[in-house]
Amino acid sequence: MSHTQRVDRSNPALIVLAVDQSESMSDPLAGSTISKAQAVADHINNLLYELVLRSVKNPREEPRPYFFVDVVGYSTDDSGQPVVRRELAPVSPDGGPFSTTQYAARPLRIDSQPGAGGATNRPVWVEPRASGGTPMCLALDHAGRMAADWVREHPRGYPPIVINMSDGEATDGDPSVWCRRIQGLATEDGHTLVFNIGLSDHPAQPALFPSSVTGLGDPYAERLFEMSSPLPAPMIQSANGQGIAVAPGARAFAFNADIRTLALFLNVGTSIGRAV
Amino acid sequence: MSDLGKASGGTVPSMVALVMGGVVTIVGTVILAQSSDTLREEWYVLAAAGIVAALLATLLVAATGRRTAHVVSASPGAAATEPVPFVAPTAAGSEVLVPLSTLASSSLPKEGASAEENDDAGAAGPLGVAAVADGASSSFDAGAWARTLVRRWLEAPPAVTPTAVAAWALECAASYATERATRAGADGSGSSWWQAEAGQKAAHATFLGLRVVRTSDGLVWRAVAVGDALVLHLRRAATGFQVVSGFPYEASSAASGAPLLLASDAAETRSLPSLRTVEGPAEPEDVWLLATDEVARWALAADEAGEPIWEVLATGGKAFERAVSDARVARSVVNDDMTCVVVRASA
Repeated sequence: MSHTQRVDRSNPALIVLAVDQSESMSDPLAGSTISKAQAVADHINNLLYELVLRSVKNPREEPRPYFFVDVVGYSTDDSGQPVVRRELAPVSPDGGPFSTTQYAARPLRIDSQPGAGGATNRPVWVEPRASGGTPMCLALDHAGRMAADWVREHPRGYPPIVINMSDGEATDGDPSVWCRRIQGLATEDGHTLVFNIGLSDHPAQPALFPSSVTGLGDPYAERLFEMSSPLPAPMIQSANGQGIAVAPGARAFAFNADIRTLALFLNVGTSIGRAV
Repeated sequence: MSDLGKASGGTVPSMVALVMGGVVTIVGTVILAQSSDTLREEWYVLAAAGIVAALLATLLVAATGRRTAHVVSASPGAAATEPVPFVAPTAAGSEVLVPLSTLASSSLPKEGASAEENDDAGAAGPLGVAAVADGASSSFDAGAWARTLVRRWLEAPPAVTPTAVAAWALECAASYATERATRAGADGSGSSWWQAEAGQKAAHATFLGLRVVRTSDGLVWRAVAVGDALVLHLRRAATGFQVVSGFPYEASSAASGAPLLLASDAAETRSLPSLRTVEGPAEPEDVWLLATDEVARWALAADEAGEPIWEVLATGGKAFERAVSDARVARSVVNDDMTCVVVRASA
């Protein structure tokens, strides 16, 4: 079975987040007062938060470098030229992605949020941004190059995960071609996974890892669904084991939904989803 | 292997009760007949009443004193998925813990990890108790919680009933919380955002606790399981160890990647939806092998392939280390903490 490699220090995992920063991302998310750009920033911050905490083993040791995460934003500049920025997240001195150890030490700021059990810390690494066009293909090319380097250096590790977050159509070509190229990259443990997160200002039921998008009513989102990898069996098993209903045939796709649960699907040893 | 759902026993206690009832009836009739002229004349009435009473007592004992060799309980509210025969309540005071010899007690961390990073724990006590626990790798401070559970099982083993084990788990959670707070104070943890966040999270572990006792019916073993830690009841035969039964599963494919876990959080522990216990008869010199999930999967798969590794597991020490190392190279096990405790009931 593929995608069973446990993530640990010997076998860290790569996650590349490609984030649409085009002008339309400033529009409000369906059913919400916040912008799609803000929603994306929240998703990324939530995912990083979960990944860092999943890398904490004990109170006396800093979070371990189980995950290396890069966040690249894509848009166009004032002259309409496509731009892929790595400024969203801190970039390590060697130019590679930051590890969960480094993310733990370097949030931009820490917000305090009231909660049922008292205030909670909400670290922020990513701020919203929205301007210009949607050079999705360029961003996927960039993500694919990172994944290719990773696969070459970690041939037995967990395959890279590329997460594309967008609200619309690419302005620089057919992104499905680039997604297929990324999905062709593989380690001994399986093919690289491409997740797509669709954000929409059309009112529609949020969906998390659906097996179909019939009736979604958003053609761009449906295209993103088609571009997404099938969820590997261990992830489906893990999700169902944690009480999240995911059907066979589910795709690595979410629509107007927070993907922080993705962090719980990744195999960092025994899952803690179902406690008694 | 035996079928976990198969009932056994019941005949021997019934016969004992019948004989004892008959003896009591005859002796009582003779004594009463000797002490009274009236009763001497109506002796046959007394005898008939005595026989009826003995029969009733026999039926009662047969119904309540049945011995079992299978899953006996789930906690209240859990859906019954297996036969749950009626079993006499376990009274800790009426039975004696049996001396156990520890044949092996091995725990190896993941490859590339130090011993301090081992999230498993396992140990056996000299008197009738052994346990293993597997701290969930993705859980905060899980190794310490696993060690607390095993230590407390040896120090203060509860009766193996869902109610008693649930109360015991709450005591463990309290003990662990105190210890964690003490450690946090000593090392100053909590100063960073992730320490504060992680510090609010419960630790989680799978758990398997074994208790071997001598009752009026002979040797009995009982176990409680949460998650995929395993106990195998073994018996030595001429050809080597034979598996009598396994709990909570007997097939390598049953060790799941997302097991149920015992939480250090008291609120979570109170719900205990899937606490399962087992009870079975045993014989002197019987052996129990307790294992965390990856050892369990490995051992059962080897047995299913006709190449059992019981001897090396029961030897432990360097032999276990070599076997684990070879299995890791051959990739017949995943890189996990590997813990195995093997005990034998004294004759």
